[in-house]
Amino acid sequence: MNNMTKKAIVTLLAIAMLVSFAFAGGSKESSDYGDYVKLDTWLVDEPTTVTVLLSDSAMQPIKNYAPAQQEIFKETGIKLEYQVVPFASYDEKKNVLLATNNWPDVAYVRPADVPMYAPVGIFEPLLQYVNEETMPNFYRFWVKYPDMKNFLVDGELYAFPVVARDESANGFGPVIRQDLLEKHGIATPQTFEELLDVLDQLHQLYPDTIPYTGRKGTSQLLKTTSYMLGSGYGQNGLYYDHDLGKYVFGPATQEFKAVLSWLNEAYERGILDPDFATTTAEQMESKLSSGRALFFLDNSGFGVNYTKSLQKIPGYEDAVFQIIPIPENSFGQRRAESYAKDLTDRFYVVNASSKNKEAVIKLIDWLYSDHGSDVSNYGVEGYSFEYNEEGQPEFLLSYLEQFRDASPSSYYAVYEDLGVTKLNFCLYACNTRTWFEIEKALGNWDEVSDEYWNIVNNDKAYVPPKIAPALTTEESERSTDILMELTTVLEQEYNKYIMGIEPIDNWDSVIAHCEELGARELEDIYNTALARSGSI
Amino acid sequence: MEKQHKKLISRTGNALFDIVTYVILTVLGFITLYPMWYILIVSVSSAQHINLGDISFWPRGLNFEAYKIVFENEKIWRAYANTILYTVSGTALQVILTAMCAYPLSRPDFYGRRILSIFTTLTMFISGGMIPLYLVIMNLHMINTIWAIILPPAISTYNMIVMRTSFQAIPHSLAESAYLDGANDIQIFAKIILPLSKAILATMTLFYAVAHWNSFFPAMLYLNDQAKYPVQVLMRDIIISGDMTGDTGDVTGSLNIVATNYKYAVIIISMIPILFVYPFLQKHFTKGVLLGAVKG
Repeated sequence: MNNMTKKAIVTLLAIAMLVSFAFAGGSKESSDYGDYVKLDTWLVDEPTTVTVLLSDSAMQPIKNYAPAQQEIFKETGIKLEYQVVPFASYDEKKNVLLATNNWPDVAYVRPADVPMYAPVGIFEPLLQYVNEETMPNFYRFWVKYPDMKNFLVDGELYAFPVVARDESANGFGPVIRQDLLEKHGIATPQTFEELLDVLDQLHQLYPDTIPYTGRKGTSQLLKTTSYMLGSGYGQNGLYYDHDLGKYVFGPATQEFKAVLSWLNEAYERGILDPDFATTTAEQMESKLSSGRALFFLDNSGFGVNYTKSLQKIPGYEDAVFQIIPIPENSFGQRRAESYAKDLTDRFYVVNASSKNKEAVIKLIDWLYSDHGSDVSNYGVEGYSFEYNEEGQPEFLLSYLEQFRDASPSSYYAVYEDLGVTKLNFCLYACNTRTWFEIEKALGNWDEVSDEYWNIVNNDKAYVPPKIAPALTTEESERSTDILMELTTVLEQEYNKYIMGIEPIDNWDSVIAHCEELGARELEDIYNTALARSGSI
Repeated sequence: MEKQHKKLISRTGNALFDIVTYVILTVLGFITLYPMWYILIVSVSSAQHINLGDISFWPRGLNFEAYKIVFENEKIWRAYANTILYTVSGTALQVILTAMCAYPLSRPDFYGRRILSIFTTLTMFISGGMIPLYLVIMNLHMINTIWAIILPPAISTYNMIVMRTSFQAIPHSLAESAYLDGANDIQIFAKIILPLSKAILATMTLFYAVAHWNSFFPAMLYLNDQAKYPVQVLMRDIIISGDMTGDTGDVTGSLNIVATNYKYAVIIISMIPILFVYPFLQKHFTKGVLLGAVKG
């Protein structure tokens, strides 16, 4: 045998060894639920495995067999097996799995997936189970939130919505360097006009700063400001006007001129970031947490983090970003839309070809129950939480202690360790409630956060968002077509008006053009669907 | 006298040409290297300076915190081991199979060579698409196994054609004389053709290894266990979720945990090993590509 052949054989053997390692690594996890005793609370006769497709984020990685899942098995006899896909790849992977109908018993989906895949027949129709007998716990929410009828697709329910438990909802809001206002004796602005004056004043005092910065370009700028300024933008122009009680295509209204005029004034007075059309989220963060920018109007929750970063820089020890109550717009209104409060944008669908449908439905109903929610949000009684005198779950400080300095935060570390809350498989889910409780228990709760949530919770301007009514397949296709054309035309227009290249009076011609492209038809489609869902 | 003068001019001309060449190459080199250098210095700078945006040529607030976080993350180590496994086994398999496919097609006396070549070339222009490919792999029961990563790309048609061309450059008479000495086809391939083609084999190894090292899409699509993910899937997640914070429309989105220096540290760590492969293969590399290029 010569050298060459020997080498080839050695290489092949090495490959074979490596490959066998790979297989050995993948198969050792399957029996991690250990021994069991059958309890009366079991939902099934024999231990049953239910597989779930989930997405995890870098903030809260999801692992299998966490304490909450162990407890669920102990109490219900159902073994949860998660198939976890990283957040960034979730859409692509989920689309392939659904399109090839090769997915677990249950899958987490986004709202748009339901009408897209439901007509194919891969999702189990759920209305047959929605009654007092089969799903008493879910039925309770079905009656409590009539808005859930908007989730129907062609008259059928295909996805279980995650219901939020005691959620404090913030939203887009104006956040300013409060310390500078106090230092210079400037009063908190009450109107959007005053806001520009205040920012102008700060600009005079700190000429090297950018008074008002944002992120992700013009469309985000319009999303964040339009509703407060008296018109609206929603995600792509179409929005629900709570004052008018109907859907409106914002850019095709006279009120939208007020939005563009205000932004134009901010731009011309040197208040708005000159790079507003191209700034990224990263740049915004870097400008605000280094003291280079003084104000933003976006997810107001960012302020607390910017304050923390800023205070670490010498000379900025007293710097504070704080939200201000929503100022009055030029129409005399104070209005804003909060993030989703009771009904979230997370959904779970059940595989129509699953062998364990019965167990899945029972488990999901159990997760909607108060006790199921306690387990899927607080973990294991006696290990991570205990019931107080009022029968409410409370985290045990002895358990929380180990996560005091965890990264990225104590509460995410707790969520990850226990396998709980909204980002895990949880149907009646806590998010802010447990967050506040954990931070308060560990003494991490500071005055800035306290004041922040006080202002947000007491500001009457916020209303929770309207759940979009279910469209028929035909309506949905037509509205997508119209929106696409409108977006293409409008994207080229906004910056011209914000930067003052076109005078605001010319916006009338843009409105006319929008109407030609079907803006009113789009409004009609949504308002008809809205009326229809109300009458079910 | 005049001759000397001319010589002088041509010498100055040459020098000038050299200077211009060097200047252009330096600028090009700078443009190529600076982004990598920037990622390196940001990964070892402090968050404050990154936010202030005052880092340009040297790291500021030097610290290795980001690397500490990366090294403490066992997920990344496991993914790293997976990447090495997929790259080594995938590349070995690819080089072997590509050579085995290229050699028969390079032989003028191979029956049906023309029609087979046409069929192979066709695959460069027509593919089944993502979902049909997924269904094929699913029905072959390769989902969530290493085979889904290393088998489907086992032969790249383009590389196979380059290799075939390079084999064609070896005189056929060598094989004929080997026949006379009693060698069979496999012996000729293993003992004559392959040893004469080290350059092209090195080139193909590099091409395949780099492609494997950088690939994340098949892994993302065909693997279900996180324990089997290569490092590129994790890296993509770390980098993209940073850009997506605050998008989900709830308070959880307000916490930005993916610091820039952390992201960059992950990029550096996943880039360095494959970067070090180049110098070792470079001497074969230029020669190898040329070999395949001359005879069409």
